[in-house]
Amino acid sequence: MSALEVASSRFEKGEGLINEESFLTFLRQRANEPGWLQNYRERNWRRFVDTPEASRRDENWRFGDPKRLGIGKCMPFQGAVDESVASELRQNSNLLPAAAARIVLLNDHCIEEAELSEDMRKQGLVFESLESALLKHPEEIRPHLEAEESDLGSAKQIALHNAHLRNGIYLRIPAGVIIEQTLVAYHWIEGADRAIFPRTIIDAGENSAVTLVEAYLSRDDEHAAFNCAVGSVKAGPQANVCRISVQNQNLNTASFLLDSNNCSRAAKINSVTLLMGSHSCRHESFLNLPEPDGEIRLRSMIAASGDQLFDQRSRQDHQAERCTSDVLCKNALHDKARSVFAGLIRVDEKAQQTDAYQTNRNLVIGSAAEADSMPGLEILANDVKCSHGATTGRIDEEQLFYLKSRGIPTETARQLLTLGFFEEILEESPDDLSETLRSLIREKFESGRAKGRS
Amino acid sequence: MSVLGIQNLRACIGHDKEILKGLCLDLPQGEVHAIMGPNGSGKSTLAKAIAGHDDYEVTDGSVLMDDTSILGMEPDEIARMGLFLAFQYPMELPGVSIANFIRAALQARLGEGERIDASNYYKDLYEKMDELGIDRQFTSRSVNEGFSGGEKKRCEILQMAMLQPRYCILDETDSGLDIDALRIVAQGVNAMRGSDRGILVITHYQRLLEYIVPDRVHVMWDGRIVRSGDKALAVELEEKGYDWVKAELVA
Repeated sequence: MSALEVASSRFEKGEGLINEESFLTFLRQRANEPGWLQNYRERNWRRFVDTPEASRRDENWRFGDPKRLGIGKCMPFQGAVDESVASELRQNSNLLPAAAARIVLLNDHCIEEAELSEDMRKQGLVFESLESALLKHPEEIRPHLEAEESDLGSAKQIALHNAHLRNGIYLRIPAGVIIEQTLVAYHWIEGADRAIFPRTIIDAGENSAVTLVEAYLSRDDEHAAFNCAVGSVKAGPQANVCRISVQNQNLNTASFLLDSNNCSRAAKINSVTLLMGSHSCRHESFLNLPEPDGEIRLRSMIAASGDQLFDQRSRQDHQAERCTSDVLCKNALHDKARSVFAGLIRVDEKAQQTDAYQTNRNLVIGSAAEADSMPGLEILANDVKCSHGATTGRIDEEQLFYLKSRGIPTETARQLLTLGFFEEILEESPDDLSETLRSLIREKFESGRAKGRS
Repeated sequence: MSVLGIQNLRACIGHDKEILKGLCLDLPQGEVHAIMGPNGSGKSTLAKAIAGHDDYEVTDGSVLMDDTSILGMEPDEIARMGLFLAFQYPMELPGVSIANFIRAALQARLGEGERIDASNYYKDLYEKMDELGIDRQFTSRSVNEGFSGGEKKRCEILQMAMLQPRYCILDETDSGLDIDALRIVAQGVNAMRGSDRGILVITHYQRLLEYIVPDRVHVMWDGRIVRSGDKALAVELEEKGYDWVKAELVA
């Protein structure tokens, strides 16, 4: 039995090790936390228990597979960090060597806090682990955690996350501050049967600008793990936030990335994701536009092989006038990998002059690979520009012949075309990052591909 | 012998429609030959069948490159052996830059463990781009995407110049070119003439042959070479039209 099968069978039988008892132990160990936080955990635990398991029959899980995304016997790691492992991972946190500051987390423990430059400190930038932020200024974090949440089907996982969240990233940019250089955070999983619940909070003040890159990685290939990451971006008026997430966890991991983006008046949020790890991954993305003139772009790349499953849901929620949202999801699927895309554009009655776009393009390379696409529109305003489209295609035989006629072998030709498929997204990323992303994808489809094969 | 030798070649598209009907042609290194013929005579089929396109089924005959049969080989193998096909309609490759494309083609010709020297590569590439009047910014542009007809054809010649093939087939390289672009492309081809290369120019019109002067001219009709001669044949053909060949064939 593969780790995946073990995990899902235990989950089905209710043998998961996270239970009332484990939660109460976890809670007791954190008795010195502020009362509101303990209450918050208890409230969410209750919600977790009371929320029924998702089923494939739920509209929000259509074509998905909730069982594959079970927690199995994974548990949050409470023990001490092995310093030699920490030091190895600090060294391997090298996706973006030129980053201005970085935070490294290991199993939801912070093993490196950011060293901010004198300039950044003077400007009042806060970029620290969530654990540290909760200790230093809990009342500042509180409204972010207690903010009303919405989900696209993973309410149960969000509740579980809230009950167990311990660490993550807190990034606050004061009004008017522009951070030109990129910040980076690493979320490592190490050891057998670990569960992590990292929370990312980005709070960008009026007229501020920042770029954060986050990487979700595993130290080893063989251990089962569960990742349930929740992220929220709040862009103040005219702020400009770019958040880039890379998920390259091992193939025994079940992974949730549950994001919400909240855009104030005339603000801009640019969200870019590259998903290529884990055996099963669910990505939910809320694009909230409650004030006029906001703009949110979501660019997503999925590079899948073996029997990986990527399940992606997005909702573009236009509640105010003259906002723009643009979702582009491009998936390349090798072997018997599967992807699901479900997107909804919702335009409120008063959200006139909305521009909303939603595109899902699937490049199906493996003969048994499969892509399901469910684009959707719900438009109540009458003066809007909205479009949605989904295409699924194979590699064009005439393009392949053209490459081969230059002496390029079939496999290399396919790789070039696959990388080319992602290029319109890659070329929009910051220069040093786009090259890193390119080589990650190349690596996955060259050597990592063999690993992904079952 | 250094020859691309085509003997009695028969090829079909699909299962039954025979397009090449026993075509014979020898293209020796050091020479430029031209094939002229009306639409539908099988010129493009000939180019693609030789290059190994799997839409075309060869049912009889042989194609030898320097005494090695290339029929049944994969298109990339044939290309690495030394054949280059300049396309009548070059494909667009979104997201694949010219620099990466040509680099991958050169890399494929190296042995295991050998890598291309990047600085020499770019030096060579820029030099050839300058000769063909291609802006250097094109190196990072996607192959043929949004190119004008002339840019596409120049890009084909650039690839040919970089790959240094032993045999080149230029399929209607003049189509879609204005007179200035035609001159530049012809210059590029002429610069590649040499004792170690055979070039086959496929064209409709005699015009291109004023700029690329062939050693031999062949007239293709209904899947066969029906007449061969020197460059005067092209002029004669232009004057009298293809009906003249047809009339002679019937007679």
